[in-house]
Amino acid sequence: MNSQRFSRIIVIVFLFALLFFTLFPMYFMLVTAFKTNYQLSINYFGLPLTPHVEFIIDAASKIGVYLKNSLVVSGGTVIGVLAVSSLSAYVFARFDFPLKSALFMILLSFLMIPGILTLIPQFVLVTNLNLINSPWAAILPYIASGQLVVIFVFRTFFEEIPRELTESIRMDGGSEPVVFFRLVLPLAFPIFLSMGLVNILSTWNDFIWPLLVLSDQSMLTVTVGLYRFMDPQQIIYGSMFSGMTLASIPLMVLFSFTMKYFVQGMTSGAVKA
Amino acid sequence: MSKTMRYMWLYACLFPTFFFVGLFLLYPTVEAFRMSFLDWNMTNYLNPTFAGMDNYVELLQDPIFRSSFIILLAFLLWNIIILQGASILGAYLINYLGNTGLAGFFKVSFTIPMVLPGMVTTMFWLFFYEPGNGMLNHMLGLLGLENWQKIWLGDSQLTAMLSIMMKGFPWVSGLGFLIYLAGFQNIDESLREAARIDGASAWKIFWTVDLQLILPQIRLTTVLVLIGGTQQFSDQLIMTKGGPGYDTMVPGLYMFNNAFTYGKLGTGSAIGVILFVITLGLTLLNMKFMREKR
Repeated sequence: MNSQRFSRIIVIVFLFALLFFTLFPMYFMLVTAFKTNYQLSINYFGLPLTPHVEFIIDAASKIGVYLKNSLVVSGGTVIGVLAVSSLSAYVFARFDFPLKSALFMILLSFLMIPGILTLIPQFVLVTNLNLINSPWAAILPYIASGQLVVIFVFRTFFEEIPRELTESIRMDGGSEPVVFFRLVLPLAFPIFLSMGLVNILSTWNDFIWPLLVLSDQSMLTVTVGLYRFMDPQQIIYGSMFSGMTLASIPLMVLFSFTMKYFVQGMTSGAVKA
Repeated sequence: MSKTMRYMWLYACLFPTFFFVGLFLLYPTVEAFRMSFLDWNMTNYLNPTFAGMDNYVELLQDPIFRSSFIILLAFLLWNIIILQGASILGAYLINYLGNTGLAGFFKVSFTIPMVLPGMVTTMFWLFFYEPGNGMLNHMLGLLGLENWQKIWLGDSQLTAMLSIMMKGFPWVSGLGFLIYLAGFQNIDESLREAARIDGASAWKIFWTVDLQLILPQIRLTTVLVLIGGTQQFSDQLIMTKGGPGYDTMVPGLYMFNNAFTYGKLGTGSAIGVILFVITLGLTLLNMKFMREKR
């Protein structure tokens, strides 16, 4: 019994060590955001004794635009993905029509097309459509590829809604849209949230595509904006880490309320992909 | 409502999905193949000419392209063995603590960095390796090891590769961690109990019970890492730009550079097609595995 208790303590100590290294970058980012370059050089790891808030204010003025751009891109994508996929998934789950399974197989087959194959032609396409430096240049391709997994997950979910429930609404004279909006959507709310969060995270974090299509200073998303933040000539570390801190806040706040749904979404999406 | 009318409605509901797929996935896919057979660069941007297999032949003879696959293989092996090992270990140890508050605390705490923007993490590590004020050189200085200080990302292939690989240490946080934790928690405790009664050590139980039962999860994440890792190049782009020289150049970055730095769209597309064939092979292999399992 004693040895089991001993190994338990070892495990806990070891996990705390792993956790320390995992969370250390966040601590360091936060404290360095309030230090001048001189303070960093004399007090590298510690708390800033006289915190300087001017870096946060300076970074906020720059990063505000980036955050707004990212919000437009991620928000637009999530709304689009959820709208388009819920409609298709519902049709696939509840109705029979010619070519149904063939059409569904076609959709599934596009899950095997990797983003790297379509990167260059998509860029040429978006250029020819005159969408460069418009948020649509990111939103539309994101919807196209983001919807596939979501349709798959939604279809499974919609199929599991008992037929008796939908029938009872129809008996009361409810039309198909009424069934969809009054019954199906409220039931599907948690899975909407899960899939929405996963989509927000992936679009918010994407780097290569916005680097290519949203290159104008006023259109930069947070990821690309931060990248440009690093002026290699004269790095003001306080500004850099302030920018990183501010860029982290929106998702942190969002996910702190919705962690459960996010974890569900990540795992279900991965298992089904 | 007549049957035809009803079908029209249903197809109309499917239209947005297929419109997006057609324009932004199907068309670019076809284009990728077509462009890979073109001599298309900045000097003849408006009049690309048909080049047959030239792009592919050139690539196969290109030493940078060939070595980029060896480099990619090194990164993939590292990701599969070390990164997965770390998340399996983390998940296993948390599960070992059982259904306690402490286990819940660890689970949430290790999930938090997942929602940090990827660029923030990358920038931290870029700072970590920075020659002037970076954390690694600073710590070496504190230890009196000034002559160990280096331009880590630019010194040699070894330091640049290792620096990129060490990014994200201790690699517990991530999707794999969540998948493994769910896997371990689904294992019936009585199986471990039975092995314990047979006198098996904790180490033996880990190898014979836990690891065996999460094999499906290991297979899943391995495939995800392989498919994702073959396409991933933003770390290399941001941290080393493929350097020093071409020492950390992976195929994805070489594609990006060909298309968007050198303006060689045909060559870039050909690299895209080659990478597609590789990931498709991996996907089909995975599907075969999955089917055999059932």
